Amino acid sequence: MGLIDLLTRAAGSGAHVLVAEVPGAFRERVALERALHRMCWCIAESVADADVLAVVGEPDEAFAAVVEHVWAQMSEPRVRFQLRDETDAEALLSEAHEQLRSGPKHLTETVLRRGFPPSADDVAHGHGDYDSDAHDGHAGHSEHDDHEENGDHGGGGGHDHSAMMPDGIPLAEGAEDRDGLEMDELHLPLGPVLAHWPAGVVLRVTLHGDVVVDAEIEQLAAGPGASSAQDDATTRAARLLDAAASVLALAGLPAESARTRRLRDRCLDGELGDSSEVARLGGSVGRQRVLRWSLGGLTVTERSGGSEQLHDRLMNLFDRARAELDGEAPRQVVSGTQALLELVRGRELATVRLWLAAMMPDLAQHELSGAANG
Amino acid sequence: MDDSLSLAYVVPVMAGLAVLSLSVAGVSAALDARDGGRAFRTGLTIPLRETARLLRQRPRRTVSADRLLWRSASSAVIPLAVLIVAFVPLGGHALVDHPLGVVWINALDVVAWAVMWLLGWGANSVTGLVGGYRFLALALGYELPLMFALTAPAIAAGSLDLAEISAAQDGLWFVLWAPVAFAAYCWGVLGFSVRPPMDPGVGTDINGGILTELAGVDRLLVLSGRYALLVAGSAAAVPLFLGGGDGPLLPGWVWVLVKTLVLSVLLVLVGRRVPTLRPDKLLELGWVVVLPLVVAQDLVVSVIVVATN
Repeated sequence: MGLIDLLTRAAGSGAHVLVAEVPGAFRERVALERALHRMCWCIAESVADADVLAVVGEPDEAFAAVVEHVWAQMSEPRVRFQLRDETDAEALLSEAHEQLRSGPKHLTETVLRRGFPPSADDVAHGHGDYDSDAHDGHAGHSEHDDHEENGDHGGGGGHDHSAMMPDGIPLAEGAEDRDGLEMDELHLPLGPVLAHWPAGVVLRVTLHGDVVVDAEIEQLAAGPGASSAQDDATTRAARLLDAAASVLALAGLPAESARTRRLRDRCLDGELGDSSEVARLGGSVGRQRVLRWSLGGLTVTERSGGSEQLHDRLMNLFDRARAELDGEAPRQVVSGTQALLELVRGRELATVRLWLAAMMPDLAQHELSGAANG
Repeated sequence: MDDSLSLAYVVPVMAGLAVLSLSVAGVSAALDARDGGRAFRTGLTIPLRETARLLRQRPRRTVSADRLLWRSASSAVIPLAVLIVAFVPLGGHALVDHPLGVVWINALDVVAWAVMWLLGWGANSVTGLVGGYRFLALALGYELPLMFALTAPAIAAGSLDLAEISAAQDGLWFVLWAPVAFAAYCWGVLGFSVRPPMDPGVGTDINGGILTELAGVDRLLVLSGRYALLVAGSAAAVPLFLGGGDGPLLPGWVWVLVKTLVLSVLLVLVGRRVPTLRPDKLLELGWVVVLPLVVAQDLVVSVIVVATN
């Protein structure tokens, strides 16, 4: 066995998977995470880091456009698949493994992947009016398709290669920041292909440094195959634990996050006889003084005039999961998208990610009921 | 400079750095595996598999990237670690036995500022830029305490030569009478190697920040370089605080290796227990708490030195 064979085999045994979760495919995503965890694979941290792109659920046109965009940015060797049913996860992953291993030994393609995140236009582009001229007001939009065919996608809107747009990217505009200093304004879409992020949510933020000064929110619709049935108590509890695990991962506690995820998995399997383990884990997380200190100061003011701490919200997630498992009446926390926009303005990017993760279960319900209504 | 080891030792020193970095990465991955509910040993080989994966992955570039700066930054991380190790006395002598060794170590850790910032800047990506900004903010928090921490052993030994500092700790290691300086130094090591909890610059919340757009060999160089910097920082702590090659039975250079490995693993363990320190929290901690403590520590060391002479 040659060196290249050995390298290829070793390389395939620890692939990184980028998960694109379509709204309403929570159980499928969890099944995928568990299957890849068993194979000692892991979740990719960014597009550049990924070998495998896993689409979970049935994407609609808008979501499919984003997936294509992400796929175009991935480095060779790469594999993609779509997971429709949670029982297929293992089979699809071993197939991807096989493809990575048996793929071309010598990668001869000279095209370098170029990547930057999808812009507002790209997401809106696929949303309903895919081929109409109405999707943006930019001249030269027809070049867009040429770019995509070349595999190097035209990320931004506007492709007249003038001096103000080197390589088709408009230069950053300046604006005054909160201290009155002139800052570059940067535009960054968060989601929908993003770990620890509510499924299908696209938050297009305008940044001064890493402070969000403005944001627009869009909720991509659940796929055509998504069931509109209400979650049962176990699934609701699992969603709450999943959100808690995400908050812990974003806060930089991977060990606690992994413990919470395992509890989520056992909860979905129906292995949690009572809620004592959830209460115990919540208690041990709550006792971490350093976590309380590091999350301290992340407060939101509610419309009612009260305020909420992120740490309390995290504890609340554990508590609500326990209540769900105990069969107590579910406590509703209403957080519409409007409130969300008020929440993110003027906050640092890390804070926005933490709050969005903490609000995941409530946004998911909001979105599902929205989809059911039309 | 006359006491420097001959150039023939460059290869074993670099090999040693590589083996130690791989071991520390292996332990870190194994701890991850254990937390995830898998066997500890399944994680040990992950760095090797990850190396193979990244060697095979094609490089990638972003639109309008500053390729010169970006590529030079990703290739500079490992040489930076090698240069730090070159000043560390292994038993008797270092690759470069310089009378101003401490100053060199300090100068090199400041080079990390440029390297990490350019990694974020060069990619022409928003998250990379945010990661770079975060690293700089963080560096403002840890660098001054680190500089004052480095002066404690220099004052105690009355020398800036690492070999002399190491020899001055005859029986009583500086970590024992300058524990605060030692802690601040370790904090700085976690900072310039961008390891948790000093890693908001490569945070999950910004998709890896300065690492976001790196793929293939470039990514490999930076990821392994971060471990190499951690090991190099720990290696420099050995002559500064941990008695150098002082120890029973075994030859001095073995003790240097053992102490370096133990300190690196301890730093990994501590990093796993503490949540990521966001720059605002960290600056508060660095300037309001740690800096005055380290200055007080320097004062205590100076008083002891004056009193005992």
